[in-house]
Amino acid sequence: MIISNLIQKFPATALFIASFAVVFLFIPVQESKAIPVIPPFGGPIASVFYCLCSGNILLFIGPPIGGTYIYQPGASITFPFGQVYRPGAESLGLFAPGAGVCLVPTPFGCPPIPSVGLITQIGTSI
Amino acid sequence: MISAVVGGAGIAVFFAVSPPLLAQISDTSEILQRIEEVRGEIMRLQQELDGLQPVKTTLLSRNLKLGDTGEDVLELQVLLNSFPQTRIAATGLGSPGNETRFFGVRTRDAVIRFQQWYAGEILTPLGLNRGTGYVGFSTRAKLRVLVDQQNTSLALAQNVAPTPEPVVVESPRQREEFAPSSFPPVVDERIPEDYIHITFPSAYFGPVGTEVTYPGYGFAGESNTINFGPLFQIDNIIADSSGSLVFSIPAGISVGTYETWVTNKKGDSNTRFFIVTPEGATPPTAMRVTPETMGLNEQATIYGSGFMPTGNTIRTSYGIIENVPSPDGKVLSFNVSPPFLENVDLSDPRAKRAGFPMWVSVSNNNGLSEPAQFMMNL
Repeated sequence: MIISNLIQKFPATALFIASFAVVFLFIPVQESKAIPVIPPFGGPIASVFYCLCSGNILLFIGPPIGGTYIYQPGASITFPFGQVYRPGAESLGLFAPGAGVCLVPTPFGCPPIPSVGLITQIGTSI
Repeated sequence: MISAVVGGAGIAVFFAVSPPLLAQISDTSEILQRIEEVRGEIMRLQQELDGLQPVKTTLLSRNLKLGDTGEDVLELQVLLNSFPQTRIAATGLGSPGNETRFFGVRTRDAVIRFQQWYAGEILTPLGLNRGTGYVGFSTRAKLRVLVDQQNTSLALAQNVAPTPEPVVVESPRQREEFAPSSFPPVVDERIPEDYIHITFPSAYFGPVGTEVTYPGYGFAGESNTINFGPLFQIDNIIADSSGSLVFSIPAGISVGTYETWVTNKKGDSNTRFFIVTPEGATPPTAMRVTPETMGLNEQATIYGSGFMPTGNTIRTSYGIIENVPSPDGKVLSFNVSPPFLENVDLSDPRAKRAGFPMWVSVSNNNGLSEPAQFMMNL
């Protein structure tokens, strides 16, 4: 009722809005080109280090795509066999570069230990 | 005017309620002297800090061994000398302040001590019992932790941010996609030419005749031998087009759990286990773990079926517990004590409370169960 009254009172404006709506219906929607890069990693878990102040774990992973990665309980999706805290298990997964932080206690506070990024998904051998 | 009145009232109240404080600060010259002493101490400490330099980490960019020379050897020696347990020499060449650029016998011995000191993190994952003196990726990873801890502590003390290090990325694809500035430091993980490694076996158990695939590195172009413990070997296995080894469990091998590894002219690979089961055996099942949520060092109980009276192995997310008995074949118990929490002061007021998802699988001579899950809270 209200809309029909407005159309009767302002026919030109209503036509203008309607034409815009029609035009937008036929404009193809483009996907954002800023797709986040989620690169893979993988290799044997060489050592496991507990980050006391941040409550997460720093994994040292060997070749072929190794480095230091943060495993965040509750955020890092884990697949079988879930051997993420055991050195010697083989790992494969994806990570978010630059995300996550491993904080360790020192006499000066809880500074971060540098890492490649946050593990978003990980699966392991057994 | 109003503020003057308020201020005066405040001073009056202060002196009215704080006679002991007045008595304490009566000797102004003594306090000033103490302040000067503290100021001098601060300046001395600041000078010490300014003189300290972050440990360089070029030593982590390549593997090091006996006979190698270079700046990174010098840095390795400096780092080893920073721990009494791994000091290269007490006096003379290699001693603190007299480090050299040559990786000699004493450096190798210090590396061996370092590896054995951190055996659980360096040697055990590689299936080694003794230090080798070879600075490979596991040793470099542990060195990296120590260097990072030193540098971050030092940077914080000097009130500067840790210096980002150059990034080494391996594949051309990575080099193209990621600008170095987008990466924090990363351990260099170039695959050495002599790297030989089993990754994800296609199967962990089965009877004689089971076909198994060992994907991995360093198998292609070689005549490979697959070892089942020290007694059984399968010779002349050639890698397929993907570089994997495909083989069948040979006749004549006994039922049991074997450490398996690959040998070729590059050397020995890491180990993976394989359980040779009786024909038609039913593997164990792990249905649930109780309590579902538990604390550190608490006892967990696995309920399932197919457990043996003795000889069950519990494969947890943090380690392997062997030879666990199950009198009724349905229950197994173990204590939850992850090695990564050893030597961690959980009473530290800065410790953040966290919950860790854990998985357990059970294996015995009949095979391997699917994993069951529980939560360990700190």
